Amino acid sequence: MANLNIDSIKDRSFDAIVIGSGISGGWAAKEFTELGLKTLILERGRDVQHLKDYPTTNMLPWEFKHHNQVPYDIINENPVISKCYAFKEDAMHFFVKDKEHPYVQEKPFDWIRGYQVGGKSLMWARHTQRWSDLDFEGPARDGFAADWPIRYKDLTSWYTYVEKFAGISGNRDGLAELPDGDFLPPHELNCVEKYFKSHIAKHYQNQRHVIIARCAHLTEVKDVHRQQNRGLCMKRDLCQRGCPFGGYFSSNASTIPWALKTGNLTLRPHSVVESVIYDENKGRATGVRIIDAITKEAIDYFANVIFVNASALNTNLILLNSKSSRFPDGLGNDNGLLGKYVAFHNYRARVSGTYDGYPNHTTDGRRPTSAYIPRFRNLYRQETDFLRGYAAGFGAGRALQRDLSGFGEALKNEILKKDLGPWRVGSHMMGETIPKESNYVKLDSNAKDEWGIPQLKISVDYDDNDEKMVKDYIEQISEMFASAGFTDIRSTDSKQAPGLDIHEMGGVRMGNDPKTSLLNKWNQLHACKNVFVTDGACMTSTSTQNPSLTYMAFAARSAHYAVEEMKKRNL
Amino acid sequence: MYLIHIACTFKPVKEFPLFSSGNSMNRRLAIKQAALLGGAVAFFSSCSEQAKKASIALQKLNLNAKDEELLMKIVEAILPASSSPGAARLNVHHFVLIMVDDCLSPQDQKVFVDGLYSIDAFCKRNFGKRFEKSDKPTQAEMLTAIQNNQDLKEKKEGEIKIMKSFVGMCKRYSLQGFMGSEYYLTQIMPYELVPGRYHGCVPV
Repeated sequence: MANLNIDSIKDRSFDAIVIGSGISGGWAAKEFTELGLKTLILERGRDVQHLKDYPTTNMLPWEFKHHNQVPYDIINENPVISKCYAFKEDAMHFFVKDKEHPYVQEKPFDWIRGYQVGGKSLMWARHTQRWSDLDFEGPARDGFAADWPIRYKDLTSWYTYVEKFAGISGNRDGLAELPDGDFLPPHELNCVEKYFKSHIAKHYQNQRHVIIARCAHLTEVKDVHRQQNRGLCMKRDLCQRGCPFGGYFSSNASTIPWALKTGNLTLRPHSVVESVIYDENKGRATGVRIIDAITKEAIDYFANVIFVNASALNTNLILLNSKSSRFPDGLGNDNGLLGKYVAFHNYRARVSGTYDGYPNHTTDGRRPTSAYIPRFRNLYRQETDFLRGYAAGFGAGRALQRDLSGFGEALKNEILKKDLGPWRVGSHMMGETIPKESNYVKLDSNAKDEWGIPQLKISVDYDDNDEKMVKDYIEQISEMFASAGFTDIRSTDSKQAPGLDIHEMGGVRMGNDPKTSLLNKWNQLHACKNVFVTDGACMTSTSTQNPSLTYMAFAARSAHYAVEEMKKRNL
Repeated sequence: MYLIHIACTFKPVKEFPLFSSGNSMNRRLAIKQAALLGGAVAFFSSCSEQAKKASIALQKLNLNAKDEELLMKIVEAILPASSSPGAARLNVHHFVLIMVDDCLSPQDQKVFVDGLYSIDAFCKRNFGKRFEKSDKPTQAEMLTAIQNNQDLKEKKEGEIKIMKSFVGMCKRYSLQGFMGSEYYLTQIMPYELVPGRYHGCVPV
């Protein structure tokens, strides 16, 4: 029996364990396996294999029983996930249903999750903007949160590194606030977007910009993408179903098959992580305890280094639940700040309008991205009565114009018409929120999930700074629209709860000072050096950029650092 | 659902006399009786055809072949055959049934079924002619009048509200079903699964 046990432990021992197979976990696994480490990915959800497990990917609109609408009973049973823009008949199988994975909302928080191999990288919106020092220096300049322990120069080469492999399309715009990357050809701005771009540059003396968004689509296939068996983006704009061409970046299409190809990866789906195991004698983490999602059996896995990439809030949950006598309040939580300073992006406001120009032109085909307005508020100095600022999405297009008020032949004739209406323009905000101690997550003292793990209690809210920013966004974008001659300008504030932005961040923030942060500049827990966090939980502040690219860069950088440290026997 | 089961424990009535006469005295009486009976008028008529089920499987709605046929006439009135097929030929009524069955709340489903059961009587009361027996242009006029709440003799706001909602649901799902149909998305506005291009500025 003893031998069997030793064998069993050996079977359960790896060089590295990565918790989570989403966008950052996939990167950690790719780097480790390429560098020769026997690596285990623990994924709480089911396996989703590229191509094979995209059941709706080639379905035509009329093949969906409800023409892509979600049935009433599903909406009724799942009020949170039903609010998500991508939760439709074609992709709802990739989203967590409220009922199956409850959590406690101390304040309203729409927690959007994807529990499967690939996580949310399957359904993400694929925007990939770099941060600049105007972002990293934000907390220090404006006196909030904690100073980031890194600057743009620490991440530059890693941004390039992940961009090359993932394939990021974009235009080299030469903007200090949104550094250029290693870009594939950009998607095209349409005529009204181009007009707006040049108008805004002129009207605001080149202080505001409209660009094509940088996004994770293969607009050109390079050797490194061919080696991943990925092909050109065919502009289906059906990405949330999983792409049959591998045209956009996901763990499923890219990092995970790449890591599997090395022979060094073990992928274990249905593995709900209960905690990271801390050995008091060794003074380090030795492994991870999982509950098999199906058999409910507890199993321990062991490794020298552990990467926690469970998604921002679940990473908090795992660390909070990793209790030992050394860390009674959660792994690495000597300062009591674990779970605190959670922030997100404010997506509440939209502005729309109409443009009478270019009446004889329209667009042809589809484009899986939009134009983008980088942050222009408080860039170099404090200018407004609120801190920080917002980026904005922007897009223009024409829809068919029809009068559907009638019945019978009149109505039928209308829907056979192909007359275009005027150009419609629209924008949405992506506001930076200020991390605060009062915005936190913690373990609920009573409620547990199906696997006996405490449920996460979320207490996150907007504040006065966010309200002011919503108002300013509406005023500024409306003014920009009006100055461009757009008419019928309307704005809305959805008042949506935090969470629906799907950009929740923080709780295990980085910083130089172990008294005020959990992670050091290499994303290592200050107090437990062989545990790293490189997903959204590590974010000290949020800035305005879509965050995934930065998580990828952190994951690759930290994985390489961890391997070097292991070689030096520091880990 | 919706009382049909209960109703059908009664002996089905083959000939229901309420609307058999056109004179005004009888008509007033008819309206009065109909108001008293409410939805009863409809489920008797349903029961007589109960043996024949609707042609598609429904989870929640309990509608029969005759109800389905009436709905088919309604969707065809909304989007009639012309040089191109009408809604009936594209089985849009099936799509409407699926959407009502799966995508509406129980409250809205009740409004839909009440509306379907009472549209014939409603039209008779308000326009002097049953919906089913009218020609397509007249049916379209009836639906327009209901939608816009114009030229209705109906005094009961509740009846108008139900009928307006019912017509609205039929129209919304008929449009969605028609414009989402294979015919429409291949012959009228061809849908491209794989466009492979985006041109930002092409002549109209």
